[in-house]
Amino acid sequence: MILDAKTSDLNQIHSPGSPIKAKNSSVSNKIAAPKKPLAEKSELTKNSINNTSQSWFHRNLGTKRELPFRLPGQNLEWLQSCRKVAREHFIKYGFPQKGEESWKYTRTNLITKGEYSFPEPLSIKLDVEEIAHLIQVDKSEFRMVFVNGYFTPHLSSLMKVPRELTIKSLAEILDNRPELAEPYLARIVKTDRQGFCAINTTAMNDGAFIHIPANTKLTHPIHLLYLNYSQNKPIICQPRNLFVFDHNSEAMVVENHVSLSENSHFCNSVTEIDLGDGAKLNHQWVQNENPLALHISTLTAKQGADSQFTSNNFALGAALCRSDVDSKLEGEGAKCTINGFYLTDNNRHMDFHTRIDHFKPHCRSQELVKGILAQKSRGVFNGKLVVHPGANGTDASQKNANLLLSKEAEADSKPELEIFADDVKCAHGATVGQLDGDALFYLTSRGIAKKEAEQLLTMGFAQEVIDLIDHQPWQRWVRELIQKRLTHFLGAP
Amino acid sequence: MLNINNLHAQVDDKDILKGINLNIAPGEVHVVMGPNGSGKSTLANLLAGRDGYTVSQGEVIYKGKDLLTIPTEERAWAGIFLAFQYPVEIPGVSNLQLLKAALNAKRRNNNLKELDAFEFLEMVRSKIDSVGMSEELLQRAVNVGFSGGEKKRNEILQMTILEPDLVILDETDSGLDIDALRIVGRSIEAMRDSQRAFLIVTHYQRMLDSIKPDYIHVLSDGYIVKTGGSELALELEERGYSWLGKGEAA
Ligand SMILES: Nc1ncnc2c1ncn2[C@@H]1O[C@H](COP(=O)(O)OP(=O)(O)OP(=O)(O)O)[C@@H](O)[C@H]1O
Ligand SMILES: [Mg+2]
Repeated sequence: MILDAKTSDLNQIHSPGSPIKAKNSSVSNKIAAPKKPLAEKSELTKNSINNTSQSWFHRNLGTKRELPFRLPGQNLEWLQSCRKVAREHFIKYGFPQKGEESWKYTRTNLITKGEYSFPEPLSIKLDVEEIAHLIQVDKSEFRMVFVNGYFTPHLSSLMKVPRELTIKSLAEILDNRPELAEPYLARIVKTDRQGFCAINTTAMNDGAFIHIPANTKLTHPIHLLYLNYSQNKPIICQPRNLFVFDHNSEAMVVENHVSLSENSHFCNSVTEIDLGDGAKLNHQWVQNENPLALHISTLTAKQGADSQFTSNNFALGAALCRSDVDSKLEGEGAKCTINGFYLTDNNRHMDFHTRIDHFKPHCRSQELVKGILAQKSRGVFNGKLVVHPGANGTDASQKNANLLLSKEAEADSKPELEIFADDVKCAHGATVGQLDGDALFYLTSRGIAKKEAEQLLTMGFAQEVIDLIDHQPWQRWVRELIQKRLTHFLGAP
Repeated sequence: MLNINNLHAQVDDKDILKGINLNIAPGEVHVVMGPNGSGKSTLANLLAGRDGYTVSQGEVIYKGKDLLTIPTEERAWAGIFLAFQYPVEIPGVSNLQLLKAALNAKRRNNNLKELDAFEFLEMVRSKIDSVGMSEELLQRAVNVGFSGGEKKRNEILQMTILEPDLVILDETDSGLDIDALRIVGRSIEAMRDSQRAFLIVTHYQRMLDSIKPDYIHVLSDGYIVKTGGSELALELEERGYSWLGKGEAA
């Protein structure tokens, strides 16, 4: 594989006059000032957020003028105003702060202290064979490959996409057919007090745009493969996806995030999904980046009546991974299924947040989230469920189970239920445990060596979530990936 | 094959086995009966290698080796098999996975060629009928959602596949319907040969209709208080255990 990354170091681009140092030092002074609760931000803390975010922004994203490439859709007023608003939000609120409830368990220092290069499109000699192990899962799939966030046509496979469908790079859509994106883009996610989403929106550049027209059912999955390659200085990649499913359409989308190098990189992806009435999306998200990677993922779906959204999320890699999957059930009878699985070792940290808003009657939501935590790693699950006034007949369930493979591993599980309607069924439960001693004895008494028995039981714990992938080849692929990672940190039998 | 000499065992400082002596030769069938809580399962589990017991006195020699120092899985490789009184449910691990891993581990450690997926399936198929199990149960997670009787038959299936030398059955007959009981009896009878020994824990004489034991032992409060031939079972059925008195007296 020959990769020739051209990255521009924005600190060097900066004119010497820009007072990064000075700002940094003034920040540290101000942070030392008396702590005030976040709710009543004093001018002082507001200022310091302001300065931190300003400085991060300048260090890592630069101003529009200084970006190493032209952002798409420059002439679109609505888009420019989205970017501007997002930027203002970021400057005002910055990154999630220490006291913020939804970031209680997850420190973002690793990211906020980081220095990143903005990657330029790679002049890359990478051919399909070299990534074969990532793309041969289902040969008939439609595939979009992104390298450092940029759509890379020669690795992709979109020739057989039926004419009525649109599967294209967002940059191309913004430049050529922005009217397809305009009603949705940056209107489903929030940037207000959502620092990561705000910086993604400000510098929105490329990602996947999928439009499935009404009454169209796609039998082959759409595979979105994000390859991250950083050479020296970590790069920042900010994929931005938009999936629009018109009424009664149906498709499966697989997102897979991997690293091509051993170096750290920061991926901050945002996905917006609009499901029309009766539309069905079967979504798989698999993050298996390298152990130094930092990954933030924000996904928000908006669902019409009787639509079905299933999202299976597997966080297997990265040093720090925070993923938010939210759905707004805005039509009667909609169904939302969010499943999650995280697997960590060393000092790694996985945080899976979900939020499901039931706005209309007779919607169903269900969640199964499982974590396997080895060594000193930490896993967080926070499942928020809001049943709004009038959403009668809501049927919701949420289950979280964690398996700790060491005494030093930690699992935090927090259900948050807010119910303002009648006739609501809400079941939730959370467990944290170790491998079952009786089961271990049962297996070893059959002649299965202890290590292998531990593997079987651990894999058995994961199996329940893996089984939920409703596509045989992808299910097998994910199972093998998890098996491999487990063997890696449990030791080969 | 198995010699248990003056075995004393405790759980959490509580004396459970208080000096067991038992010798089992190849080809023999020994039955252990006795009141609830007398220590039958403790003995069975201890032989199979469950941890949590302290052995304060005595020894167990199996095929000439000190059994108690051998790790659990190696006991299985050496031919010990315990059918559990309460078979464990293992979500996410299929019956087939368990059987294959177990059989191949044993073969590997006895210098036999491992079976490939095809050979293995052939072999399992040839055996499930004899224990009256449906093939569907092979794909399911080990014992999860199995009925009481299905769990017991599953133990018997594992026994027939692993072909152990010393078979320990802990109340495998409890909770079985009449047909299942007959099937289990037949499977055990079919396994019986001059090299294989059985230690069968049961509460019921009817199990012994199909399997004629060589010896019956009564375990009471951690002692073997009586040993006799197969006729002892009938007497116990009639008179219960109370007439036997406590171990120290015996
Ligand atoms: N892990 C343990 N912790 C505490 N006590 C135990 C443990 N295992 C066994 N015991 C105790 O040891 C005694 C013997 O138990 P065991 O299960 O061996 O009896 P049993 O003869 O098999 O009874 P049953 O006929 O009811 O199956 C009981 O009093 C039981 O409560
Ligand atoms: Mg018992």
